Amino acid sequence: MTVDAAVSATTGTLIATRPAGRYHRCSIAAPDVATAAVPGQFVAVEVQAPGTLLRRPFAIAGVDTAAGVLHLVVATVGAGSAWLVAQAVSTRLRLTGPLGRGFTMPADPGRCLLVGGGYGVAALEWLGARLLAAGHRVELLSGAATAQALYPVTRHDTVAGTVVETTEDGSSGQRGLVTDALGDRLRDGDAMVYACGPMPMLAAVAGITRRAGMTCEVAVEEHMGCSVGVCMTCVVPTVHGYARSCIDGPVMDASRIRWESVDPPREDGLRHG
Amino acid sequence: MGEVDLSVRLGPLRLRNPVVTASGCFASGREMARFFDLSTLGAVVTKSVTVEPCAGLPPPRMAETDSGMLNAIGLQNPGIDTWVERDLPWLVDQDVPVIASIAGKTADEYGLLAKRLRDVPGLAALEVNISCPNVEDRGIVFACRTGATAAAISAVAQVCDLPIFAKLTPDVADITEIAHAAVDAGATGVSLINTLLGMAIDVTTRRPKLAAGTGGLSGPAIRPVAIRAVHQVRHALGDVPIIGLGGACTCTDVLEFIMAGADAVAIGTATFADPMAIPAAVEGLTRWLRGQEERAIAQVRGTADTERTA
Repeated sequence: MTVDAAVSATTGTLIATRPAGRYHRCSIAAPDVATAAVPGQFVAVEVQAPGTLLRRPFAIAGVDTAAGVLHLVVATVGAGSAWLVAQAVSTRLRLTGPLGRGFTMPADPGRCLLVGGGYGVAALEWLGARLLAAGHRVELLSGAATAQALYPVTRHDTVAGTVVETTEDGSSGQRGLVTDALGDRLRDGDAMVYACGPMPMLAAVAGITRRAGMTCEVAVEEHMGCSVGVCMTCVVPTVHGYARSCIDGPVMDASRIRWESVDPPREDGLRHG
Repeated sequence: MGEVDLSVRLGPLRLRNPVVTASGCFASGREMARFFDLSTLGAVVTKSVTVEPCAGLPPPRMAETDSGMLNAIGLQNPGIDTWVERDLPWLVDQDVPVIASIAGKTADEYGLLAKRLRDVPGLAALEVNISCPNVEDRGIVFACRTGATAAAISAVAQVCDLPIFAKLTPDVADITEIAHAAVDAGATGVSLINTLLGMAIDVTTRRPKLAAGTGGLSGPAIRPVAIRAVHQVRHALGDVPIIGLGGACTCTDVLEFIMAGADAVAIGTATFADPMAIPAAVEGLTRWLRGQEERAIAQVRGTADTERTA
């Protein structure tokens, strides 16, 4: 079991909330968390929406280590996320992080394919920038149902050599699923694949990479309770039994997950609720 | 203003303060040791362990409800052998009393678990979980019946000299009858209360929010039920050691349990909402006690006015 000593229970200050397509990008000054975080990790934020009890987990979409600021991309899917995006600048936020296992950087320079669905692309944007800086070739595939649901990748040149956008309705970029675009790209040769998005998309990516014989890491999306590894809510079926996505993940080796047993997605808010 | 004394007696145990972890809310202990020194705690009550490894129930396992949550984890645990070899040695080295929670499907299984644990160095006590609501057959919730309660507790008491705490459910007509049965069968004390059996439905999908259908309700929503149970049992069973729990989040909540008659108070769900909930409650007790006439928290036990309710 990974138990990361760099995590802290702390208080941050909201310094900005800006729209990012249909999502919001919240920037929080929390130096301890920002300094320690890596792509794929998340924070759990205390929300004070009426009737809520538990902190809400949000994937970290980037950090500015010099300023001690971390960025979250939030989809308003429930009372907790709606509360967060409605907060005024300077609001003090109690939060825990950085939490969970992040993406693994490849040992040797090579080709990396990043596959994101909806606002799952936000964490991959950050990963892409790190991979690019470390000398890897990066291709970012960003998919969504419609143009409105695409996450707006802002700085193409610094996050990937190539950015491909897909929409199911063809309203922007290539028409079709992001996983179709992945299949096309994999024919060009070997790559390390990273994926972040809804569970059905991750399952499809896992299947495609397994058949192609390529290594794939996914950031799983599952309902969380405590976010710190003690409540056993956010489990994902793996070859070693149920694993906790908050502490054994959220980034997991796709080949270790028993995808056929993963629960169908639910409407009432995934892990970013 | 002299120094205050937070230490309490819990039967034969001496705890440095009355705040302990609730079973099932602290995993192996290593997860929470990232946030605070475990010696801050009065004791650790571990997650219930079973004879065989248990995969637990399928997700979704949790649903947040108004001021509470429902869970149906289903006693996911590695089984007694792996737990004793892999998790327990680290925990007993942490300078905190460890109370091991055990759960069986039969009275014999409780006996087996107690036998396996009786000689483990460093264990302070056993908590016998005879009231987990997340079992396939509600008929095997031992703590719903006096006879089954007595059978499970005596199976443990016959083979093990460790102090025994029977964890009871409030989902019964008279919890004092069950508490009497547990103590008569050899329990040193009781832990009051386990979660209440509950259910929540998603009106969009028209399906239960939990895969298992029903689950255990915990959190602030159940605290008045727990306070009532502690008060009733303190009144009916005299000086029996009581671990009070059910929705305790803050120092104020801990005091409420103590005034109702609890010797120690477990914090569970609040840790899910804030990993620092327990250290904060302990600090709060010190501050509170400095403003009181009593110098020791033990003197506060059962001081709620019971004249009108007794």
